Parts: sequence; C-alpha cells; structure tokens
Amino acid sequence: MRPDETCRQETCRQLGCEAFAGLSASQTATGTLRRSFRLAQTGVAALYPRARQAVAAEGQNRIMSAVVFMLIVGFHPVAFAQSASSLLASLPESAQEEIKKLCLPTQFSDGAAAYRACVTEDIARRQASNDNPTLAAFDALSFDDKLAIQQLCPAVSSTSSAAHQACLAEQINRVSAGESLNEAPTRTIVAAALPAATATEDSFTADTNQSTAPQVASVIDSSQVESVASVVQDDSAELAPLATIVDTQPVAVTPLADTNNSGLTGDVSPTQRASIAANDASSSAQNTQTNTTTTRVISSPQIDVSPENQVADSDTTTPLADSVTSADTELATTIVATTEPVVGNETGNSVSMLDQFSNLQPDQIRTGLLYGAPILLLALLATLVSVFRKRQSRETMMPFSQEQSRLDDDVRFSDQRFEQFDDTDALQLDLGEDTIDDVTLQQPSAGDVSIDESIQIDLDELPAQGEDPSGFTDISATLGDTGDNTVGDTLGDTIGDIDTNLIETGVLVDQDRNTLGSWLTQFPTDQQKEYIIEYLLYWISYGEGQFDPSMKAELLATEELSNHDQIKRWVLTQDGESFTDALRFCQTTFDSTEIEQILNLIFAVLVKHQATPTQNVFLRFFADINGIGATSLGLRYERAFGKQLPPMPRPDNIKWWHKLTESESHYRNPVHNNSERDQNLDVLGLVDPVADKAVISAFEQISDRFDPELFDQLGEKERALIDRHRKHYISAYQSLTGEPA
Amino acid sequence: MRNYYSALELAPAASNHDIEEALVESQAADPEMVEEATPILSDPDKRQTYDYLHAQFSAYAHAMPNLVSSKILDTNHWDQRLVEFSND
Repeated sequence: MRPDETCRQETCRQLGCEAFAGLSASQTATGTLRRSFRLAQTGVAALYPRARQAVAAEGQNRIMSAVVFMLIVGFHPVAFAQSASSLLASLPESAQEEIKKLCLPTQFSDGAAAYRACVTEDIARRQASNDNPTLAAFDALSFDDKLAIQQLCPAVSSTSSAAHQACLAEQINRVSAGESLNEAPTRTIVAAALPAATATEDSFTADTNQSTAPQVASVIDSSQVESVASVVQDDSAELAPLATIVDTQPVAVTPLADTNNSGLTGDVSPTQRASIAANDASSSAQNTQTNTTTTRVISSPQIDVSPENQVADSDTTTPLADSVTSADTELATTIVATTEPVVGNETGNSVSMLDQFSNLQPDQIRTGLLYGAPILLLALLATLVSVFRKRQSRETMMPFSQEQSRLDDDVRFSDQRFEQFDDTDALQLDLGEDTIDDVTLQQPSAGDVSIDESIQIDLDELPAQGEDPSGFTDISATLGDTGDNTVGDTLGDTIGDIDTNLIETGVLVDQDRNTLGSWLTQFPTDQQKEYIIEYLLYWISYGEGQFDPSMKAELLATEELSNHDQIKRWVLTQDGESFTDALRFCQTTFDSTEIEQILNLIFAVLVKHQATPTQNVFLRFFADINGIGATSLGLRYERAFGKQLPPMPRPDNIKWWHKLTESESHYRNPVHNNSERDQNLDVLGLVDPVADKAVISAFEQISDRFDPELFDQLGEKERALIDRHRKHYISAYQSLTGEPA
Repeated sequence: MRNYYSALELAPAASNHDIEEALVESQAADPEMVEEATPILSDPDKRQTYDYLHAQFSAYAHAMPNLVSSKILDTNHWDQRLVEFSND
C-alpha cells in the first residue's frame, strides 16, 4: 500500500468511515481506466453537440465561442492550473492551509487534476457559503468532519449540483446529531435509490407478464454492480438480500447503446418512462442510466428477472420515447442526480469539469487563447500541408516496388522518375517570367585552366611557377609538392611493402595495379589524407573541364611524374579504380568531423556562390557515401551560402534546362568584367548597382565559410590553401569599401 | 540520369556525326529516347554539361559496389540513378 493510501485509510479509520474506504478502494481498483475513458468520452460527446448547437443557434458569434471553448478544453490544464493557484493565493493563509489539507487526499488518490478541481470547488463553495446555510454549516465543522464529508461527498460535481448539496446536508445533519458516518455510504445508496426502487418494484409487480427486468438488467454494468455490491456486503444487514440478488442473478450485459431502443413492452410505468427520459436528460446519459438502473436492481428484492418473464412477442413493442413526459424527465433527472455520487465519481468528475468549462473566467479564456491559438494554428497548418503533400504524392508517384519492377524491364527515366528522386523542384517549376527559356550553360573554353576566372585558383600550374599574377598559387604548391618523387620511384620502393594500415582500414590495395590505393601505401597516414583531399579537389575541378588540354596531353605522355602530377593523371584519365580507392579511403580512414571539414573545404575553395551541376552531384554523392545525407548537406550548404542547395541537376532532360533560374543562368554565363570594381563585385557574387550594405553582407556571408573552426581538423597545407582564398575575398572587399575587413 | 551513349551504343567521345547517325537509326526502335536525347546531344553546350555529369555518374556506378555499404546513407536513390551506368 502506498504511503498516501495508508494515510488516507488511517484518516478514515479515525473518523469511522470504513464503509467509505471500501467504496473508495473498490472504485479506485475497478474504475481508474473506466474513469479516464469516460472522462474523454463525455468530454468529446459534450464538445461536439455544443459546437454544432452553437452554429445552428447564433451563427458566427457562437462559432467563435465554440472555438474558444475548444481551445480552453484543449489547454485547460494550463488555464486551470493558473486559475486555481491564483484563486488560492487570494484567500487568507489559514483558508489556504485548510483547503490544501482537504484536497491533498484527493490528489493522492485521483491525481493533480482532481486536486485542482477540488481546490477550485472548495474556493467556490466558500464564496457561495455566505448565501447557503448548508455550506455555512459545513464550514463551521471541524477539520476532521469536513474531511470525512469531503470524502463521503467527493468532488463529483460542482457545488451547484443537487446531489452534492443533498449529500452535504445529510452528512452535516448526521454529524450535528452526533451520528457516526460509518453507515453513511450504504444509507446514502438506499436513501437515494428508495423512491425509484419503490416505483420500479410496483411497476414490475403490476406487469408480471411483461416484465422489463431483463431489459433493465441488461444495461447493468457488471463492474458497477460489483463496485456497489462491495459496499453493500460490507456490514449492512438490511441490504444483505439486495447483495444476494445482485450476486446471484446472471446479468446479461448488452451494449449500452441498445438501451434506448430496448423495446420495453406493454404498459409502461412512470418510472420506466422516466428511465428512458433519463437517457435524454443527462449529458452523460449512458453512465447515468447505468448507475440509476443498478441502484434500482439492488434496491428491489422482489424483482423477478427469470427468463420466462422476458418478452417474446416483439410485435407489442412500442417506442417509449413518445410517451415520455416532462414530469418523467424531472423524475429521471432527480433519480440521476440522487444516485450520481453514489455509484462512482467518474461521472461526477466529468460533470464537474464541464461545469468548470462553462464557468470560465475571461482571464482563463485569454490564457487558453494565448497558449492555444498559435499552437492550434500551427497544427492546423501542418495538417493541411501534410494532407496536401500526401494527396499530391498519391497523384504523382507510383509505388516504389511497381516502379522498381518496371525499371528492371525497361530502364527509362520519365517524369515520374524525377518525382521519385525528389527532382520535382527542378522540373515542376512554373514556366513563368522568372525563368528563362532554353538557357544554355556557358562552359569554360578549352584553354581555360582556372576553376573560376576571377579567383584564378589554378590547380595545374607546377609549383616551380609560383603564384600567378592574381596572387593565387595552385593547390599543388600549397599542398607541398616537392616534385622530386616520381611514381616510378615510389612504386619501385613499395613493391612487397604493403601498408597494413590501409588494408585494415578497407582500402583496396592491389600491388599489381597502378592505382591510387596501392600507390598510397608508401606514405604515412597524414600524407595519405592530404593526397586524398588533393585528389578530391582535382576530381571536382577537372570534372568540369577546368584544365588545360595541353597539360593533360603532357601528363599522359610523361613516364616519370611527381606525386601531384600522378594524382592529376589519375583524375584526368578518370580512372575508376582510383576514384573508388579515394572514396573508400574517405569512408574508412577519415572520421566524421574530417569528412564534414572536407565538405567545408570544398565549399570554401571550389564552390563560388552556388554549386555547379558537377559540384552539386559530387557533394550529394560524397555526403551520402559518408553517412551525412542530403538533409544535413543541405543545411550545411545553406549555412555557407545563404541559399538552398539546388535540386539534383538533370542535364539529360530538356525540361531541366528550361527551368534554370535567371540567377543560375547569370552564374553560368560569367560576365567578363572590364573594370576593377566589377571584378571585385563578381568575387563577392554581386553585380552593380549595389549598396555598400549589400557588399558588407556578402562579405560576412563569405567570411563565415572561412571560419578557422571549420577546418581545424585538416592539415596545415589545407588550411594554408583556405587562407589564400580567404585573402582574395578580403582584398576584393577592401577594394570595394576602402575599409579593412 | 539517362545514359544516352549507352542507349545509342556510342562512346562518350563520339563525334557529332556519329551521334546524328545513331539518333536516326534509333528513331524507329525508341522514338521517345531519341526525342529526349536529340536536344541534349545536338547542342554543344548542353552536351558538354551532360558529358561532365555522364562521367561523374559512370565513376559513381563503378565505385558504388566497392564502397562500404554500411556507411552509405542513400538519400538520393543512387541505385536508381546509376542503373543505366552500371554496365558502362
């Protein structure tokens, strides 16, 4: 037993309320899950009719009211938490302590929500006690008596509830008369159920040939019967026969929904009609009906529910709803209200919560709107987007398996293939004014050996040639090519001397072939990494034709090559084995941070303002094979360039060419600037007219790409290369603004 | 990406004349492919860009089977993109 439960039981024992303890324990054991379900069920059932009724009744104002109401319902914990605490804080300290003492057991047994409800209710009761002698008398009781009554008349409904009031009055009178509360629960059951039980008994006696007992019994919730029976069996001798009846009668439980059309036949007594009317009168119709009927059965020892009394002739069935009168409704409502707190507090809790919703204060509504409206709008927007995308996806995409099987038979790329590859952005852009028809990408001329004319990163110049006129040396010089180590020498040195590190890390080492993997084995790991990075940079730049054909011819004709030239030759010949070795080396030797910094290096050194198609494809492939993925790559690209990575290029499809944007066209058709200003602007990716603010902004964006932290895991030669390029941007910026960077 | 050279049974370095002849010969067999390939391969600039990507995809298709598959996060459906280059 939990400590809080022990405390509660101890309190009850001191107050002589074992009967309550039994009832409460039974309810707790059997009704926790059911209570949760019914709370939700009742809440939903209450919400929808209210909203619909509001629409029908008063139009848009009511709609807004319903929306506000639903918002409050959705976020009532926040609203009520603030409301309860603020109200509690407004009371005197002694009153606060007393309320807390009264309600803490509720929190132990039913949770924080019940505690808040208890506090709110007790505060309301105190405020109303000035006008209500019963409540005033309650307040005059000692704490123990209050606690006992609080437990006996649990916070199953608001203080305005007739059931609550009746319970309070009875228990107050009982305490005032010096009676024990010990028998109170069972007496409450009998007292509350007595009028209905008597009437029902008369009805059943009069209609012995057309008994409604089976139908009534059929709606009994067996667990409810058990719950009440546990109380009945407690110690009340006068109720023992009732318990016997309940325990011995086979109860056929049928769906509650059927009870409204259960087909009660023959003459219907007022109580029977009232039972039907009760279904319509209560907001928690099903639960209440069950409770009421349960009480009747328990309270009617003479009920004959034998099978022979069941109705066999369905032709005599009459709709009872037609015969329900207002008096019946009142009677039923009274029965429901009277029996409500007896059978279970879950129904009462539902009513209490709904009552609280109805009595929302403006500040509570504001709180609900403050927290609820933005979230609700976002959720609504997200739902709409999701539905739209799903719908669009269903319309345009075929199942992958179907697509796969079709491709196996007939490999072709249709528009559906584009969509499957998420290339829809590239192909489904609106052919409006923002696009240029039939844009052709201006490729560098055959003699253009630089990656970018303005930056003049020349990867092909030999180290001996030093820096070019623009102040930039080639990557070979930066990476420290000494030129004194030929491939022939290195291969001769390494025959029979395989680097076991490379084998362990997965690089395919084959001494019989002259590939990058076997060649690398002669170098220490750090130098291997440098060469692999160099290879990748050459791969990207040469892959776009950024080389001098004469240099290529010379490299292919030369037998003895420097290390850097050997790397270039593997790249220029597009040797697949070497390319595989390089990628596999990246997978197995570089850690994730180094891979990310290689991407940063490519961003800083090779990509100018926007990735070219070759760069784009390589970046995607490189990110994927190293476990980075398109999403992470896209985020990194956007952080570096302030724009999204373009969709996967599709130069094989004329639609892709038609939909290149103007900016892409501009980038791919470099303007041969004449003035120094134009050249410097082009370095920063700008075109006149441009404001100084835009120059500063562009330079800041570029500077972020050269943050030293982005390359701190790379070698010194790579960082030196990066520094050279950074200085070029700084020079352009200073020329444009006249200010130091 | 489509591998037009493979479909036309040509080498990537094929001359414009060879390409024109191959397109004409394939017109009857696969008119849809010819319709798609003609504006790409007949335009020098478009063909150059296509050739760069063609070389990239050929290298990727060659490398893919030999890479460490457990490291690959195939967010770009490379198996499908490279299917026409696997036999190059």
